[in-house]
Amino acid sequence: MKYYKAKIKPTSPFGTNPMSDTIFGQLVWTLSDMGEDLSKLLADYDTSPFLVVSDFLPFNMGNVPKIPTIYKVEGAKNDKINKILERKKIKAKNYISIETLYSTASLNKNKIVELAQALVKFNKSAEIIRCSINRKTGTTGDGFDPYPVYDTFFTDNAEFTFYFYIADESNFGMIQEALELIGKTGFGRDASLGRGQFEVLEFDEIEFSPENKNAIYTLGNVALEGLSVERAYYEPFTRFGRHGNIRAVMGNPFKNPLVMALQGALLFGDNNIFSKPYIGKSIRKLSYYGDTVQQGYSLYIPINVEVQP
Amino acid sequence: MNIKNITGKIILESGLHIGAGDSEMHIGGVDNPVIKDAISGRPYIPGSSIKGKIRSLLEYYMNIHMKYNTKGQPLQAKHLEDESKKIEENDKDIIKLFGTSGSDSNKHEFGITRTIFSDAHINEASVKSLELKTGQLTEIKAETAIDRVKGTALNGSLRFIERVPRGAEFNFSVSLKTFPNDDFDSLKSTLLKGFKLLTLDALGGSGSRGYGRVSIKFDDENLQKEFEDTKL
Repeated sequence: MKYYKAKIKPTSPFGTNPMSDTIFGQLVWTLSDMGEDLSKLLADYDTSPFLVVSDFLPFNMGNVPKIPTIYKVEGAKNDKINKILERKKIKAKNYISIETLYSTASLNKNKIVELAQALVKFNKSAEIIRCSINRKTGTTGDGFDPYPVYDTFFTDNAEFTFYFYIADESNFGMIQEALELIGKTGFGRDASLGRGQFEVLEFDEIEFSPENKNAIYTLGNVALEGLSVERAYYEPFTRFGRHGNIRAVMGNPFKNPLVMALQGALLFGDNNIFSKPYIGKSIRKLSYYGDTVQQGYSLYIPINVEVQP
Repeated sequence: MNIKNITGKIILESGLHIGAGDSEMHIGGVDNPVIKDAISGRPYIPGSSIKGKIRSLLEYYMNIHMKYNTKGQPLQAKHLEDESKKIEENDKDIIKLFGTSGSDSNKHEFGITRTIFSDAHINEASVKSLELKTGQLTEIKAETAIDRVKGTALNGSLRFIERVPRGAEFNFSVSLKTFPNDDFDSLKSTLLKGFKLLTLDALGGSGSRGYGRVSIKFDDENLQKEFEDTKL
């Protein structure tokens, strides 16, 4: 499986989480703004998507796989206290390096806990108070009371890794341009107020081999319904989606809710599970607009997990 | 789609107070703090403050609230749906430049918001200069009201307001997106008028009491000349 990898440096606060389906939607709208023919690009989306993207992963780290762990608190009183304190420390370690996950020969529950780590502080969510000027009174009062919004601010060292797969490699230049354009114009909520801007530092090609691997670790949100997987460990996530671009302001901006598995899902299946460089399915007819497409696909890395009896 | 990035400096001609709101209180903290970056702790001018002020000034200047009876709200696409009214082409620039909230009546006519106002951060030279002069990036101004009977300070009227001092410079950036059917010159000229109005009005709170006077200096010399020549 060949993916492209981009290094992303945030240059402004983000108003929206940089999740895979959000970024995909933004890329598709940007391609449309660039004058690309969307109907042509999305024609085979249900069977062979032209583009699948991952979440923005901080420092190339993903969510710790949601594999059930058994944690017994037993022993002498002091041991119990220490174990309870340790449990809190373990809970704080909720990220795991993508490279380590791929390169570790045999993973199990304990190893995953051992490899997990807490991220260095790279962001801070802050409440910003906004208000609107009443054109009659010239002040912010009289029905135009202040309201809070939450933005995520980043430290100077913050950095994300973004993976994407392109079916037709000749489209690389087009996707590169679209991604750089989104970086300049911002994405998500309040992009017109300078939210969601970033710089694309470098592009790279990366290859993952499914040899001697038996499971999938997803790099973005994925729609699992109807997929043939034997076992799946994941954190459910309900996407209350919204349309972007012009459809955000045209009436009926909302999409129907969609249950997905959050980035970091662990999926087991037979060898067929590795047949494509992505997993999941396309989601269509999700809203008032019949031509809506939502990314239900996710990229993944093959990993090897000891199968428990 | 074409994007033009306009950059420049906002130079404070008087103390600026953009309130941070009262979401939290600090022991020994000032009553009315200014908004600060969550990470660096430095004061900044939010893109929303620049955008909102320029939009409201342009709407006043173009007499929008009287023409379309907007009831004090910002101009929206729905206000322009009354076909009995004559809609002036220039008025549409407001919605094109600054956007509108969702409306069924907004068919493709106006399109997406064309401008992106980024947060304006205080520049390094200003930080150094302020730290050298005062050791901090903001000043505290005390204010009272006059008791009309006694002619002295009104009991309980003393208040402390935090401001970014005069002379501080902020780097701003505005991107203007245009599509093939857009009149770039008209949009740019409306935007420049907005900046011109901003220099005649005030940014942030207490503008009628001398706060928030600013001047604008564009990085592009041609644009700066065009801005200076802009007539209202």
